[in-house]
Amino acid sequence: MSLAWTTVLIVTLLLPGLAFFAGFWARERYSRELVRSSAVGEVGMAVFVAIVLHLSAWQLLALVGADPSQYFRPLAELEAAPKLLAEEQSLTKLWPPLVYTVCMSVAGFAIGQLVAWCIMFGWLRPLATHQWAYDLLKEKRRGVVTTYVFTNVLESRRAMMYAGHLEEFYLDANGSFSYVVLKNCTRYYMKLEDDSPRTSKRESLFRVSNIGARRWEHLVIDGKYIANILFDPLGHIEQTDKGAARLEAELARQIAHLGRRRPRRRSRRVSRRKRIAA
Amino acid sequence: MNISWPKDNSELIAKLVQLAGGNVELVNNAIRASKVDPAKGADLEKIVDYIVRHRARVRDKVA
Repeated sequence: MSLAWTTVLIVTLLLPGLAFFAGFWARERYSRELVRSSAVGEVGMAVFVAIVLHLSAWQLLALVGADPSQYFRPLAELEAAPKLLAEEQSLTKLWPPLVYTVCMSVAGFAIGQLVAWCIMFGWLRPLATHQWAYDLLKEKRRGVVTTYVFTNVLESRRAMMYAGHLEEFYLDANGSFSYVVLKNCTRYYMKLEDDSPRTSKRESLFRVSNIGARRWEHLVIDGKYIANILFDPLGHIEQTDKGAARLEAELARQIAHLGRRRPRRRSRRVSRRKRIAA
Repeated sequence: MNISWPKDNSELIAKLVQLAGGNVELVNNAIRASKVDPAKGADLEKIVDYIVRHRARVRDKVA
């Protein structure tokens, strides 16, 4: 078998293992740099997982009476066939290994996601290094987690603080925060002058528009500025059809109300200007 | 065993904050107040009711 075909075959056989890790890391909260830092180890694990997946698949196929080698035999035949014949038969010969590879890659991705789910929320939980991160992730997805960030930015014995709803977070290898993303943020200070530190009045970080909060507002706080974080889960929200309908109706009413108010404001301004001009 | 990834409700929170006129504290209080049973979550309808009732009071205080 030529070097090119051997390479193609190895990469093809490795794909399910790589797909497994793609699925495994898809929902993780570690920075991608950490995953890529051990590329050799990752390839080694991909080879191991690919071997396990292929052996399992071949065992399953053999159990149902199918011949697993039928998927890869056409590749060897294609290599041995004369060039003209190989070109003519390339589509029919390549189809079985292609189907096998795609099916195995999809299965590898799904199994990777399943294993990740079991570690994050299921019975493989003891294997997780930083279990609190998955608790946080679960609470954040189910409901609202109010987050108070105590930064190490100090000025005149005042520490800058942020409060908001947790939107996203990523961890580094030690389990400390790589960065945290907050929504609906307020900014305030922790005064460190007295025996018992006090917080100042909170100020909205983003200007509140006439129709309320923005859909897109993210405050990204780099891990190097974070001294402490306090998470306060408010619990999950039971979403009912009745509740959703009520929310939509109230929002529509609010927008309509604001729409009615605007022209009146303009007319007042105009009349004031007219008065000044007069 | 229910194998499902937790759903993200960022959009719902954004709508509640929008209803509260950007008052995040009001939304937080509404969620806390609407959670009657610790085992169950806060009812969305009650949250909306709370925000609508208290929104006017907050507005009056500011005015």
